[in-house]
Amino acid sequence: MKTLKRILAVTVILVIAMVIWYLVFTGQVMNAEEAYEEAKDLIQ
Amino acid sequence: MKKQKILYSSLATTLTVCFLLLGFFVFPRSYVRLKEAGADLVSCVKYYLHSVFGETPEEMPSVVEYSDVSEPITLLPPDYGAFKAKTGSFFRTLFSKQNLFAWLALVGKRSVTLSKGIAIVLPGILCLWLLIKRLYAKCNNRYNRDTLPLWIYRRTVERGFLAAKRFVVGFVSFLREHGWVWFFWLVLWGFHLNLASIVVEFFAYYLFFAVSFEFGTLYVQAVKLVRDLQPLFRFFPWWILVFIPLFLFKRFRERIAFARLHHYEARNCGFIKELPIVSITCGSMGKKKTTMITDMTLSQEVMFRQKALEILQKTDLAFPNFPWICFENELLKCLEYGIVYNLATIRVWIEKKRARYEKHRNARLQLYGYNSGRYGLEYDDALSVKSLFDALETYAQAYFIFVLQSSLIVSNYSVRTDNDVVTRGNFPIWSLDFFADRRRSSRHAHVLDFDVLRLGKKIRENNPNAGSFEFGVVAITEIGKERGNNLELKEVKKKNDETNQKNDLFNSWLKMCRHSATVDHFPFIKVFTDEQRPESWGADARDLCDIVNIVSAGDAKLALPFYTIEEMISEWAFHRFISLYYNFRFRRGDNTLLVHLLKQATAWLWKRNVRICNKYGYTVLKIEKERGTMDGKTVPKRYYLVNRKIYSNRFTTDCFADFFQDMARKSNVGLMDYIEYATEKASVEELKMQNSYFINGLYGSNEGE
Repeated sequence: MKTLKRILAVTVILVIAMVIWYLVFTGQVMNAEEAYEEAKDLIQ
Repeated sequence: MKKQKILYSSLATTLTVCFLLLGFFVFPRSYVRLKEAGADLVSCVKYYLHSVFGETPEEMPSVVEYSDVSEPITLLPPDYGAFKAKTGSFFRTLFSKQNLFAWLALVGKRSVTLSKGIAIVLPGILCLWLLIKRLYAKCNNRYNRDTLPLWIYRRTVERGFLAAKRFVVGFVSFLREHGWVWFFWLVLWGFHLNLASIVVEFFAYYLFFAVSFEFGTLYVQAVKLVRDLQPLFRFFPWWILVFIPLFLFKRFRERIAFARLHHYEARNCGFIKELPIVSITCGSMGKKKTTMITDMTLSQEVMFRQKALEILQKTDLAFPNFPWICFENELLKCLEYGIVYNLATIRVWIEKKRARYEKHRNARLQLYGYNSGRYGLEYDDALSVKSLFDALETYAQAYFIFVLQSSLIVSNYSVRTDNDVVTRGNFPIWSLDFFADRRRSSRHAHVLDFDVLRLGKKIRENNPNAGSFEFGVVAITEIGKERGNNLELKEVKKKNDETNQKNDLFNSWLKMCRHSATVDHFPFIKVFTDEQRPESWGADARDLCDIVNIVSAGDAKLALPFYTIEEMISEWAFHRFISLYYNFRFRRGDNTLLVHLLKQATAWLWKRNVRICNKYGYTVLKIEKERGTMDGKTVPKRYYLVNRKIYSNRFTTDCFADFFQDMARKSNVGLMDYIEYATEKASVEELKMQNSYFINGLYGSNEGE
């Protein structure tokens, strides 16, 4: 029971960390796309 | 000492100057923003006053517009429409396949980099490990000698660290002594980090929103708040900022833990309230029966104080204009001079007061200036009419129980209590929380002289304590051994000249004990006893009780949430280190740097874990409650033993240890002196050495033949 609880706790932490990483990554992608669009507009 | 003070003062002055310069060079915008916030507040006050006095303002105040000073944030667009569009776009990207694959590719790339790093570092670590193992394989008996690296470490790092720690602790206590320095720094940083502007803006917007109810402006305020918080996030690096959520998380889970512990204590109190005045807790050895009665005793003492306070509050409101403070002060004086020392003497004192008043009718002298003509001397509660003197008697008795600074526990083993009374010379307040952090002064239970519980013959003739017991919590461990049962007392006669269990009328006291302890219809008495088997106590007394059978004591649990990983780390570190450490100690007698460092780290983790387990740990006892008549109808219940409450030196489980210690000290023989068996099979001589009834019987009968 104790081991199961520990495995579950570690898994939950890893999942949360991955989700946060994915959210940050998506934000970075969006900002990069926006910056690219802005730069393209400026060049045109 | 003086030099140190000068040093601390100089440091505080230097830091203050640095902070001021920081404001000038690093945070000048915050002050411009504060000026802007001030202007917003003025415009909002004008807007508010115009609206309140009927004039509809023509212009919106400046608070609904963006600041010219704060820098915009790309993540938050200035208008709500753009924000909505951006949020939609964010979620579309978040759930797009392309984005997910791109992220997975990134995860793969990072994993490869990490694997490469591990592959490069691993052989080095293995080599180091082998080298250390080889170095530590050599045996020596250099007792408590430090190796050269450890000696250098102790002389430099540890000494430096300790000196720095001492200096910081000294400086912090210096700041505590001069609280205004601390306060000034806090205010200064509040201004630097724009917190002052946020407070001013809040009041400005509050005034505007209270009269306008413009919900459309809420988004602008949220964006302005995030923009205003930028200095905090820009100035401090992330590894410092991470302590803020960690601190908040710590507070959050501690609050949950304390709420759980208080809830368990409340459930215990509910269980104790259900019990009759006398109860017996049973269970085999090691089932925590004495622990449980001690826990119930502690809770009951607190409940008595709380009940006394409740009676005081109700009596106070029955005569709301009576100067109770003067009455309390006179009662305290009487206590001090020994005029009043128990509930019976209080009744006598009040009776005298009543007689004096009825004779002289002088309210100023006898009733502390109470205007009986205007406020009355009677109170009708729809059941009966109570006079002021009845109320005074109840109030005085309840106040006596409430204010009594000695423990309310009387027991045949010692119980430590640490309830604190706090007073400023007016009405006292008891600090009765078992889980509070601060250390409090201790008191111990009163020694139980069984003669005070005997209505018949006493062990000690003319015992001055006889008849004195009125109210309190009585705890008797191993009651069966004291009182015996019908079988054991078969030979004991009631007519004997000596005091015994049949002529001391202890059972009569048990049956009538509530009579002396009742205040305002509530009995301030409870008797908790324990024994291994309920049958060990005679049926006449046992039939009065509820029997609490401890079925099992569960595993230790923790009220602190989200602690699994920390517990796992500290347990892992402890077990790993202990095996390594004792292997090392088997081989060597000296101290080495690596083992020293590992021991320090493990000790820190272990101590932290122990503290948390002691602070938030608890055990659930599964119990069955049964009537004293033992009709076989049991009710399953639960009782919570919280470590912080019951294991903080409350009692000793070996409460009669001194008796055995005294015998052992006089015997001059130890375990090592007992003769060992020579082989796996006992010889005749060895069997005879046992002084056993069985063996002696066997050999006796054989010898007889």
